[in-house]
Amino acid sequence: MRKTALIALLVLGFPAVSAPLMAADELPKAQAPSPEFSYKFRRGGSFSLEPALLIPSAPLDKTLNNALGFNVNFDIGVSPDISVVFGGGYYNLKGVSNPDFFLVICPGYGGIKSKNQFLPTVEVWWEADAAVFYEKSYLIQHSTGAMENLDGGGILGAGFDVWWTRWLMSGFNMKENLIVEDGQIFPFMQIGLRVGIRG
Amino acid sequence: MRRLAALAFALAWMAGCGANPLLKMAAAEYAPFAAGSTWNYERSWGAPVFSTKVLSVSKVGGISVYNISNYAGIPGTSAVIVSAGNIMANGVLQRKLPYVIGNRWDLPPTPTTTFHRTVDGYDNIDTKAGVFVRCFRLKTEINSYNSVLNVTTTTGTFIWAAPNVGDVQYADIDSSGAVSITARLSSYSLGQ
Repeated sequence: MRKTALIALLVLGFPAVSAPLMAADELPKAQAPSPEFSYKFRRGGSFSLEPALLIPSAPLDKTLNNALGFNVNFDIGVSPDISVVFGGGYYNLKGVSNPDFFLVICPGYGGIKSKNQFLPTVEVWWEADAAVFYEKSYLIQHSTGAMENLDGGGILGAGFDVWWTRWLMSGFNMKENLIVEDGQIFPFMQIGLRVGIRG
Repeated sequence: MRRLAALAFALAWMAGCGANPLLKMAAAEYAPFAAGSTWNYERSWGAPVFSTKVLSVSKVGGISVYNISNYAGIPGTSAVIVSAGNIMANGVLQRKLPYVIGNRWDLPPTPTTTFHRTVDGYDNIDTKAGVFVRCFRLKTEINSYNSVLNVTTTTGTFIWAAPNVGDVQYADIDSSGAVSITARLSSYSLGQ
């Protein structure tokens, strides 16, 4: 009798006990964030190559033409919201009145990027960088001569990245390069499309 | 972290205090010709020497032609054109813009004399009309051949051109290399 009661208790009680346990096992999976929103993924960094257009603003807009160049960008994730970024670029701008005149600008920058993932595959960001700009003016064809200089300044930018896979990304951004020289600011706008890998 | 970022920004902006303001020079106008512009020059002892004046401006084939009296010391009225970075006076190449240190070009020679002009460097020039910083120094090397003595003598001139003003000082270089100031800007007014 006791054995029968014990067996009946086990048979009837097992589903009642196991159901919550099973539900408890399934609960973390249901509440666990999708991989794209996981802390590890959101904290990740990236490396990207970026062809970009550099557009001189006043007072150099009448002296120099727009130029297509490129940037190389490194993004080191510190947290899901913040990254440390650094990189460099190269632009060769042609003179307006004298097509034999060229001005090379090579920015090197490092700063902070604030990012926000608002879709599983899209991240918007803005960044503020300190920058150093190497400049060289030179002439070609029947002219000679060259002058070099190093200026400081800053870069402010904003854009968005799209993750096509967990590691492949592309993005669009606009940045304002502010070159400080002899107490005067020379702004250059930059519009870029970048492709990179994320990790 | 904040202190590090602030320090990085400060260092980057301090680098802007460079000794070679390339962008400023590229943005400046070194041939600000406009109708009515006048530059008055004097010798160091105060006697007026000559005035350069833009008498009129006309258009030929879409290019502005400036009729300038005593342009760069050339007597009489010259038709000056600025096109594709070249300053031509009476159809003869005089200067190449923008000025880049090391740029060198030849002026038309005579049967016994050759002229080579070089952007030599830049100086700050103090005149009665003001202190002009970063004036490009144009050095003209004149090689004159004397067929009787069969000897070539090298002399020259200096022209200092200030940003957004024009020529502010002229000097001669004798055969020994000694420099003597021949004219300096005493006053100027730029037309519109």
